[in-house]
Amino acid sequence: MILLFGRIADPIIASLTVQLAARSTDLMVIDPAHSPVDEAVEWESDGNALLGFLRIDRRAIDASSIRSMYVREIGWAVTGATGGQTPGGSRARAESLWAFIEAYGGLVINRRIAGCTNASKPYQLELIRKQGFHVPQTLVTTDPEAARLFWEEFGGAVIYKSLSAERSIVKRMTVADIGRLGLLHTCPLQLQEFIPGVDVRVHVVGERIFATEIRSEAADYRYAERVGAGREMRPIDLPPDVAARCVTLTKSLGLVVAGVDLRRAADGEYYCFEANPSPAFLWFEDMTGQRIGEAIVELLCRGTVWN
Amino acid sequence: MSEMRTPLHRPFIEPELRPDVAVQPGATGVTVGSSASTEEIAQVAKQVLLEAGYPAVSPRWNPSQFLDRTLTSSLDIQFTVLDDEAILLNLQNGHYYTLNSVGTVIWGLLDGSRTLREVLNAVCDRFEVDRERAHDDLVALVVRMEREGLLHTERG
Repeated sequence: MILLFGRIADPIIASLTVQLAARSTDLMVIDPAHSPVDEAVEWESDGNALLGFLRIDRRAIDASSIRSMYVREIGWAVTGATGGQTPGGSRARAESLWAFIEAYGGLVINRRIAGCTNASKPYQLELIRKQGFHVPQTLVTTDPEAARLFWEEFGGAVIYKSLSAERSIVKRMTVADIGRLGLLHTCPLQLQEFIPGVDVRVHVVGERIFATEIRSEAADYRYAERVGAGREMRPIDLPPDVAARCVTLTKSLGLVVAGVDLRRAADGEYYCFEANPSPAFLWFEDMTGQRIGEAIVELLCRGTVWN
Repeated sequence: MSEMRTPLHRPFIEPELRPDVAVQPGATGVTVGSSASTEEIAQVAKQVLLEAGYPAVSPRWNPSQFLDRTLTSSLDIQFTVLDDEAILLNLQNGHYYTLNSVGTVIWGLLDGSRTLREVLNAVCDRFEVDRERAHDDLVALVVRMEREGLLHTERG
């Protein structure tokens, strides 16, 4: 039995489901968008391993039959003012599921604690730097003057983005933005020196890597069409030392699967911006034919990162 | 003394730079319960992928079926080989493509007479390459060539 936590409406979960089903794998999807039949989640552990059964939605799963888990989303919805049950169930249910996942001793892609570093990008950047990657000079500030000086220090070649797990589109800081720096008083901002070069997204799946080169004139290739920019993507080979560093970084963060964002500068040096613990690999797979999902499915079926 | 503070309460990162990345439930609002069987879940998943524009039932999702396919070049492609590298022209859209030496060999093998498994075997025989790596590269090349309209399925 392989457990997938996430919405079936999420193409990532849907694609893994189709591929696992094609291998005649017994599956259970815990879909946070589905109203649970029963709020209760029950399981038992002796502190080392799960015991007996996981009882969820009035279904009992023999804990020893669970080969692996893929966690995309647990989710929980606030109970309505009337006290009625909302899709996804209660926070208590979600926390119980998280605790169950943490108590499970087998393969989990990915564990909650491992994904937490991505919730603070400056913190994660420091961990990335310790693994030997170049990282862009970064300033996190609520001080408009400090932000302006940073912008001047790099001759205006500065980008800004959110510093939490909240997604924001990366944007070059312009003269017009400098005029709005007074807004920083209410919320800190992350500024980074702009690194000219070519983007490389590396999907690490256990020991395997899938590197995709992305060429785009946009500051954020994911949203190139919004600024009328083009985008070309192709699979590439990374220098062995860079590839090894991506695997080491992923392991060091406690992740099994990660989407590592690199940029190859004009001098050939690789800068690392972040490691995404829940990468939307399907888009890259669809654009390049790289067998990323298949590699994840192989890990899930094997139940271990190691052969 | 009052001050006009409202504008300062706006976040610096403006709304258009904060995309909504929440998963949409899709036109059918599909969900699955924990009691759904693997077959039921897979059916729903295929529907989701089709709605999202992904080829849910493509053999690409089933590696063994993928390799059973026989592909051949599309009719509107002209090509020439210079120094072991092929240059392809798609007459439909005027786009040019270049293939490296391994890609050129693969292109030559995709003549409608072999399955992709046979092409993979031939590549592994001809080049000193790890089979898994050759498999990865073959799939990536074929998917991209199909996307560009350079190949079509002969059968299977």
